[in-house]
Amino acid sequence: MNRAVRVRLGAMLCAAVLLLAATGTGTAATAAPAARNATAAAGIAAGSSAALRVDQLGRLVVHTSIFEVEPTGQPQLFTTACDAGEQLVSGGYASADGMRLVFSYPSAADGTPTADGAQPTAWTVGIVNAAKTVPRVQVSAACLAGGTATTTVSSNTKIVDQSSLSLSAACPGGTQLASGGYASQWNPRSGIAAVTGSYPNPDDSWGIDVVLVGISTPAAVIGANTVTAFAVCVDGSVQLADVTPTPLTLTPGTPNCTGLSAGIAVNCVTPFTGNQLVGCADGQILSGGGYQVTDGALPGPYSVLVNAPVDKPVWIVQVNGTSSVPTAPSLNVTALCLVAVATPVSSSPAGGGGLPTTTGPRRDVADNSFLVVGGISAGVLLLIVLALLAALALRRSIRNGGRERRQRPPSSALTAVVRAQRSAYRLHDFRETT
Amino acid sequence: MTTIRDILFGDVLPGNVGPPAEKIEAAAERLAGAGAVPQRGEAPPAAIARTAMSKVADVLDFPVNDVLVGAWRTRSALLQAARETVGKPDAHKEVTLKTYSFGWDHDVDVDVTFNHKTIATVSVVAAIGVDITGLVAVVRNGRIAELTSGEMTISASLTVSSNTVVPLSRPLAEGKRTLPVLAEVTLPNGGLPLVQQPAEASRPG
Repeated sequence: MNRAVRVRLGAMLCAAVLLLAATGTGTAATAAPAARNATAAAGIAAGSSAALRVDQLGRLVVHTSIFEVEPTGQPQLFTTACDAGEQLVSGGYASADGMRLVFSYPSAADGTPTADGAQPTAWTVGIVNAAKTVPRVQVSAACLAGGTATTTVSSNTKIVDQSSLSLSAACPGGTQLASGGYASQWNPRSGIAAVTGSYPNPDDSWGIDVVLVGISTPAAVIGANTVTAFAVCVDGSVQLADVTPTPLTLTPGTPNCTGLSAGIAVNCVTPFTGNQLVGCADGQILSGGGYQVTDGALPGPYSVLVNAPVDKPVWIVQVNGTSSVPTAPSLNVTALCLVAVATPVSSSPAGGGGLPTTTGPRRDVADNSFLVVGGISAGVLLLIVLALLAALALRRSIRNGGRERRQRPPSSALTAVVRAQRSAYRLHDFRETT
Repeated sequence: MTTIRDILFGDVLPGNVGPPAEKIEAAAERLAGAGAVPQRGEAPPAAIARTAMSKVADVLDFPVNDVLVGAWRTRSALLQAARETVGKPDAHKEVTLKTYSFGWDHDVDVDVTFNHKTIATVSVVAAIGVDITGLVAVVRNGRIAELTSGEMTISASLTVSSNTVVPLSRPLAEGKRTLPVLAEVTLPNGGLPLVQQPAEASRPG
């Protein structure tokens, strides 16, 4: 592009910007005082939002404890607590093969389930060790530190009257779902209700899926088995970000078949393994996570060995089990992420500024419609400012006559750098014959 | 010379550029599918995984020869012969390795950045297994002076590892190649030193 063309283009752009600016001024002329107030309010609101992000959300701290699980027929409780002043938002576990994980719920520090409306301070996991080993398990508690939000618990208990069922616990109005958990009554003589899914529902309640294990006549256990879904709810000016489930792909291993005659597999079981990590975007805080089987069945009712937050922070789910069905089930793993809400700045009723949209209900940070005043939005104003800046930049470029032709690398590109490398020979693998 | 990258992802040259790129892409898909790449708002996991795998492939583009000679210098009958002949210009030994095998691991940590900010760290391990048969070499004065025969089979696998709450390990790529040792090992003039030479040992500095 030659210089003359660039100058003409710059002039046209400037003219367009001036025309746009003039039009905007005209539109806003009748509401000039209001527009100024709106601009000021927008500035305050934006500043408040930035401050709220820090003050309201705080930071996520994941506390973990490792326990040894003795072999026993009854559930053993293991609890990890938040520190004083922190708010529990979720928790989870990393278990081991052979363990039956029957509880994973918000609790007090002594392991007692948190009552509805009360504040949880810890996360408790209940495990039945049906093996003869003493494995180690890890219990995590994810807590908000330094924020202004508070968390409470809401629960829903149901008698297991079917061979499989789902139930959910919803948060009360004015609160947001942060995470959830479950507890199933342990009654091996009358069958066991195993939780095979623990996940956020589209309606922002916490859902669990339950199957009855070890008995074929559910009617016989009515009244004997109950399951409870827990929802951890967060109060304050925070909002749940969009929830996007991520598939967890289970990889099948080599089927192990046993049969009475060669070539005829009487009974085959296929091992399946897989894991998935999900996290949150910048500016958001991981509050919880869960998994849901969307097609098929888990490779064993207790095959979810890991369902917990880790301090990266991500939510991790790991499955390891066997199934007589050779096809892998479909699972989704979902992270729950919290964002701060920009609380609209209230105008004084007697202020006379006429800012009706700033007195409305709480809005999402992404919804800036409360900045619309007098027929011109802050977005249009911003556009005008940006156009002016672009015109100035173009003009400067023309003046420089292309002197600044250095190409900078695109700042938004994904790049990879090697942080570290290590090499080693496996000394025990050296073999030679001479 | 064959590189570790060639074994895992195929030869870049000669041949089409397609197959290696496809294998790297497939490894990136496995990396994303393994859950080793976090969900980020800045870029989808597939893009993060592709960026990381491209870097890993670059890092692994070094000759198998380096790994092989390093193994000989670590533990081998060749090393023993070199120690016995070093400093004795007239002495030489003919060494026959009916079989020789070893393993070698190379860990690589790659940070994926967006706008100069790290959004993901991927840790992979390239595990190499080498089996050599029928190697005949002449060792003179601490150096391999001649290689007359030998064949080696190299197996390479690339796995992603993660030290989260539980160790994760998932295969990303693997390859196997049988090569003549003579074609892969370059003997410089004067031979390939396996031990420090007396002159070097006494040299100041």
